[in-house]
Amino acid sequence: MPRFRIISEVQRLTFFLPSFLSLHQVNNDLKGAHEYAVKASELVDAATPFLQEIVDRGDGDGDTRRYLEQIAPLRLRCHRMVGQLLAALGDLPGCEAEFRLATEKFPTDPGAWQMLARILEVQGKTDETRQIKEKLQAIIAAAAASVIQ
Amino acid sequence: MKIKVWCQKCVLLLVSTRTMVQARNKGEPGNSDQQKHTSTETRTIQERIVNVKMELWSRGAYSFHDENVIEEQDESYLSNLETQLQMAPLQLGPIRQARRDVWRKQHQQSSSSNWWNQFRGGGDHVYDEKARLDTLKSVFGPEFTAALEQNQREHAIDCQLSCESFYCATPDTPLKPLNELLSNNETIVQSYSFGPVPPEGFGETFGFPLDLIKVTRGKSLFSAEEAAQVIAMAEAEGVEKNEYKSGKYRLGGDWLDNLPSTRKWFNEKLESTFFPLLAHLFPEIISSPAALRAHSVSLLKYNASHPRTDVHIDNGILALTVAMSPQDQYEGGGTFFEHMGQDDVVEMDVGFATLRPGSVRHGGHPVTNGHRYILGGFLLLEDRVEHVRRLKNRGTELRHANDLVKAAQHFEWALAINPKCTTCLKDWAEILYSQKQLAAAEEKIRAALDLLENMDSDALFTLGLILSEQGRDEESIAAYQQSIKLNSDDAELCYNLGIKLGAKGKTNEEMDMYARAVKVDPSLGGAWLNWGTALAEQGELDDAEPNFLKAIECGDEVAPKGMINLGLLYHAKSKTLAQGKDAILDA
Repeated sequence: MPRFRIISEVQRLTFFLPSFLSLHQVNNDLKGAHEYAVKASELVDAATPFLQEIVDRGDGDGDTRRYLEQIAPLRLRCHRMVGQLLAALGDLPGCEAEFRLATEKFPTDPGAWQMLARILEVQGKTDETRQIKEKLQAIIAAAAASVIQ
Repeated sequence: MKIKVWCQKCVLLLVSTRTMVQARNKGEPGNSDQQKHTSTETRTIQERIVNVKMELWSRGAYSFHDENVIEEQDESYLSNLETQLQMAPLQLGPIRQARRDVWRKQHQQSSSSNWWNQFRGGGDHVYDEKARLDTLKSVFGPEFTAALEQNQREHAIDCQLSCESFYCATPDTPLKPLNELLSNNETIVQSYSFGPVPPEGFGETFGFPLDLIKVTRGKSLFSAEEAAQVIAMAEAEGVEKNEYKSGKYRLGGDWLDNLPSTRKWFNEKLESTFFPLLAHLFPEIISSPAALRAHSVSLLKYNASHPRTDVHIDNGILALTVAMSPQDQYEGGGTFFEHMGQDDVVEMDVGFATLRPGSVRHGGHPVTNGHRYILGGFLLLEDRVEHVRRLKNRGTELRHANDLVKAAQHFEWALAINPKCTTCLKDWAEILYSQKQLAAAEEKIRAALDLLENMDSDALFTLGLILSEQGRDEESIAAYQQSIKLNSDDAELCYNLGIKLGAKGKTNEEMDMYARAVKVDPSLGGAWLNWGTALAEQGELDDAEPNFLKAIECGDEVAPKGMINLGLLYHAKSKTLAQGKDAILDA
């Protein structure tokens, strides 16, 4: 009869943060950068339901929950990267669409609205920019109020 | 008969001589010239042989190879053993010391003609199973009594089923003479030490010292041609279609119940060879060949994709392994016994057999090329109910069913019958660990390791876990490293040790461990993931990427984590490629 072995309670899967990158490197490969940013976005989107399912059924260890908590900030960073690169490549409508998507996914995140306001401003859409900035202020005020409470 | 005795530790001669001198000065038993002189004068050769064997055992000289154990234990044999004794290193751990203390006490009171029987089966005392069980029934009450009765019923059923499939001798079957079985001594039997702990069942009954692993040498028990015919027959019966799991390894082969022609041959061999040979080799436990029952017999096929069995113990009081392939048909292979070290492989050519108690920890050395067939079977004794093994197995089943309280109760019962049931201690420790009773878990696992003299990679692994959970990282790493010395092919162990080393900032050693882990088990996604992470943290993004892709391939819980980490890596690459461009939106 095989032994019933406990494999490990010490599994710690590091969630690495790429703080190691050289800030002085100059590449200017915007198209390549965009492709990688899109792939990163797709991977994060693909992983999310799996992680959620694992946590929902109660199988996840502490790391799984930690990964899940990291999804939102990472996805927001991906939106920002993709949008920035589209803008840099001259595709301002594409950038706007990417940032609108970010506000839909993260409606309470000030960063998403801030990005959208910026691209609208760059495109001269002043009315909508003003509306978005007002919304942004409201979100920030609500967040501050919740912290005080 | 030619006697061949050699010692693998001869290179330690100078060291051991010095150590022995120190021991003499301390008045250690067995090294006193006066004592030896007395022994020589008053004891028979047989007694002196037992004496020397026990001395070897007490010194931890487990790798001694003792041929000719059955017959001709003469002056020459004794002389060889005594030479070996002089060469044996004097290694006194706490358990050995305890044995020696018992030995010394008994040695000083050696008026009894059969004094050495006091130590049979590990040095405790003469064992009366019935009396012990009766005492325990009164201690543990009706539940325990019911469990024993269940053992008896299950044993009776297993024995009955065995006779439906395999040869069972009748009580009036005469025992074939040993000379005939061993082809007039052209076949010899070499003995290996069973290690520091007696068999889990009837440990006190087995002979002392525990040279209980018997391997046939010299002339084979059957010819290579006969084996080839059997294999051809088994292949025609579809032996290659099935697959087993042994720990983390897949094995080819099938049960003999599914291979009727092969089983017929095996039954003939049970009758003509294996049962009578077993009865001669283990007279202390086998009352007659008619008591032997074969069960769980399989023909296993090893090759590069199905290389080995994991380290394990067998589910029977006795076990039988028969080599069915010539050595020129494969590379690697062979059995290692963990207490002897993983590199001390017991090799067997076609037609040779290993016969031993089942509860010794052993594993297969990997077959790296070609293929090798091995016939393996577990054996029961009709007139001996293995209460310890059955209670332990039921405890394991209860663990699987998550009834941890009852499981622990069964391990406690088994340990009450045999306090040296190390697998009971280990399983109980794991239950306590899962219940976060870490101090109690540590006590149990250390008790097992003390008995096993730390020669159990699984127990050391569990100790590492327990210590890690208590935040005793250095001790945990030490336990894992001890474990890896015994079984370097344990992927989970390498993985856990990698994590601990990584936490200590030893990144290169950490990555080495992950590399070893995935070499053993390429489906261990956590190791791919952590290896990739360690590389990425060092800025080696290109090297990290394939590791994350491998982690994703492994599926389960690790796959989405691999996706996230790969996403991070791609995000980082994106950022790197974009560096230098003045982004118009620095949001």
